[in-house]
Amino acid sequence: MAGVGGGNDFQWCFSQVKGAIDEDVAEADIISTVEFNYSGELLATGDKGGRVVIFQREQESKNRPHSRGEYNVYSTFQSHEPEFDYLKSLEIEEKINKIRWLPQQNAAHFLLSTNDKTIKLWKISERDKRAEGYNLKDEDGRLRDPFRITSLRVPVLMPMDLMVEASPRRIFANAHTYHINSISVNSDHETYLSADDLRINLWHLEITDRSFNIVDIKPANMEELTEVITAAECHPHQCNVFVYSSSKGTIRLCDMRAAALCDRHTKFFEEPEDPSSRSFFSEIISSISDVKFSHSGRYMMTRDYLSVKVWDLNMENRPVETYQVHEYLRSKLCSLYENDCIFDKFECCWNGSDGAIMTGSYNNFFRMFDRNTRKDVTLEASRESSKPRAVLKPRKVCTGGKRKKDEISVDSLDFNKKILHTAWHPKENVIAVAATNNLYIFQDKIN
Amino acid sequence: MLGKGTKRKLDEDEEGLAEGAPVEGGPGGTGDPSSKLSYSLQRQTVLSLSLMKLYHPRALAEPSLERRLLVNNVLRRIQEELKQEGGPQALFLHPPSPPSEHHPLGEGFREAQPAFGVPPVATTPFLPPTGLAPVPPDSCLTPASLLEDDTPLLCTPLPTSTPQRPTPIIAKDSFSSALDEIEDLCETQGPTATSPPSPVGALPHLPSVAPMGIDSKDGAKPCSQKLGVSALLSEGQPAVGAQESRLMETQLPGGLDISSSSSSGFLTDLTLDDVLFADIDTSMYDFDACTASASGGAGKMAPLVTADDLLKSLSPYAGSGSTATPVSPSQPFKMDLAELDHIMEVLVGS
Repeated sequence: MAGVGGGNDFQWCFSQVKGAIDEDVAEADIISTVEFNYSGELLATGDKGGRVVIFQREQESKNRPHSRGEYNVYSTFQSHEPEFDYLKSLEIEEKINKIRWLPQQNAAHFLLSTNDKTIKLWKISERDKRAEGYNLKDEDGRLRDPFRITSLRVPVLMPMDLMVEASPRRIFANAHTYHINSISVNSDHETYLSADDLRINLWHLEITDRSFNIVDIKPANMEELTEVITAAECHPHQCNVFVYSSSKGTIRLCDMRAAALCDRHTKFFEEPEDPSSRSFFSEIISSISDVKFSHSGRYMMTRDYLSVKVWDLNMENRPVETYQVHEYLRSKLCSLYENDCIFDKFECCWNGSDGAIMTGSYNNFFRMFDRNTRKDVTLEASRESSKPRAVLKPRKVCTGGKRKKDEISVDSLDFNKKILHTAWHPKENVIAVAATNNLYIFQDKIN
Repeated sequence: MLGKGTKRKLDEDEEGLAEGAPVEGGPGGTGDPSSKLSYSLQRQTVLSLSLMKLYHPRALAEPSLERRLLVNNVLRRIQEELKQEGGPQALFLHPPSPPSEHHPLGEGFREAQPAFGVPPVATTPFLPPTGLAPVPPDSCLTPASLLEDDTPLLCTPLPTSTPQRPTPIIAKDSFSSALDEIEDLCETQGPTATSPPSPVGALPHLPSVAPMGIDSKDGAKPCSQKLGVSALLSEGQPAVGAQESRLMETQLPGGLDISSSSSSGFLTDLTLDDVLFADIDTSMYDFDACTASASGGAGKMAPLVTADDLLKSLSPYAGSGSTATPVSPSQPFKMDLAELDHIMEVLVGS
């Protein structure tokens, strides 16, 4: 069985699963975003309850060289609280829509987390020493009577149990009328962009009371609204370039040097619609749910409802590669429209070398595509295959006719078990897959 | 050409029927009547689903702008198609009737399977298939627009300009236009309601359907059960809501502007409140003609009937999903009044 993800033949194995096992899933525990940091040492998840959980990889032990370090909880904090907008009588959900790490510049780690309306910059720092021997305080912290002090001493730093503290350093609020769907840190490490349905703002990390509006597609007459912004990302190397995708399946690349307001795009990516497959749901399934630049900056990948497309930034009229994620759903679009699954927003991600891409599907399936060999595999994140270092067995969905053994028919798929968020370690073949309230970590097993 | 998909069988559920033809073989596309029929059925289903989504979002939280926009675009597209199909069909167009009424028609057609010379009435649009006349901003129904930061979304009442209806297409005050719609509904439903066996409006215009009329009534039950949409209609609350949506359906959903609306449910309630309280035009409440004939003696309905009366009138409808009784088109007004009454009680604090 050929694996996917780097050219070598390897297989994916179960490594860890985080989260409660019981069937009753609390809504607040549903994971809403997953993100590795730049080194891959830290893995952050956000959930619908507004919490952020950060896992840290333990150092590889010499005793077990073949099993890489496990991820253990490093820090947990409440990032966002539910709010109520009294003017509009609307509740603002505390669900974390996105987390983006900042490149590490000192001992502390910084990340941006956002809900629908507010972005926060969090500093996560370690404290493993404590000063002892204060002159004015007792060890308990009580103030000493100054008249009793007869001698002075210099406090010394004593080791203590590691404490990881998370503190909000910046709060970027009140800049978005509509729901924030994306944030992206710029390659200059000083600015970042945030995008809602109709506008994109550019922020400076130090300045919270102002942001530049760089894209505004709100029409003067809202009745004329035909498309919204669905995702946006900064180019990984060129700090003046960013892209944003729309609900009509188009991607616009903008250059901030061209104008202050980038309503006019520099490049426009759209694949002409295939007239023979037109249906009532054509527009809905063409809506792009995620856009990601490759690490090289040469390509970008978009995810729509049924497929993943890789675009060469130099070619606007069609993608260079198209991968079908679950084409068998095309005949079920009406039902999926009825139960709202057609509006699910799947994300996608590149591996470190840009040689493979991964995205989620239903029934806790996720798909990986090797761009070089053109092979693809469907794997499942389930408790059944959760034995340590158990090799994941490829799954297959049968679309009609006779169902072979081990295949699952389309009608048996569980559409409540959807994998919307996945992340790939930036350097190694380690992946994190969010299945409702559980986080699965898989890694490769080199044959 | 039936397009991709599995081979359709007659007794397959709506899934097979509705999804077997992704190809746009709409008006004049294919000459095959059964594929046209299934396309119309699918279109009708999608139309009903879209309206349900806009006016009764299942999500507890506020529906996203993108979702509402996409559903709205589906609706617009279907409206455009129906408008283009226009022509002789315009004569057959009737005021919106509950989804369960369309399905019996569709069911009837499906069972009959003859080659119809006329386009199936199943394409009777949920909304009058006329052009969208622009209306001035102040015709937006919701006073919540006063609370907005941004320009209020324009709610466009669809003007009724079919040959049957002499109502001129002018931009009117939103309350008046809503009232007109209700009056129109009342007028046209009135006469047809007196002939219970016939599907609403279809009989006079499509004699070939007549033999199917009774079948379609009986067909209502299996059909409504098969179609997932109707599953919601058989419950009390959503059923009421569906009737509410008929009241609202003549306006494009006003919820596109996220800053202007809370949930569309809120919007709907607010709108009905305005309609009820802001204009004391009693012509709106002259339901005698429709309700008396349809419900067989429900009596004159005063605007603020007692809850008991409404409950009595509610229960026959609530059970309609599981009985073969076709829903009378005038019953929705009782539903609306029930809702209004409830709102009144809440407001009064009783």
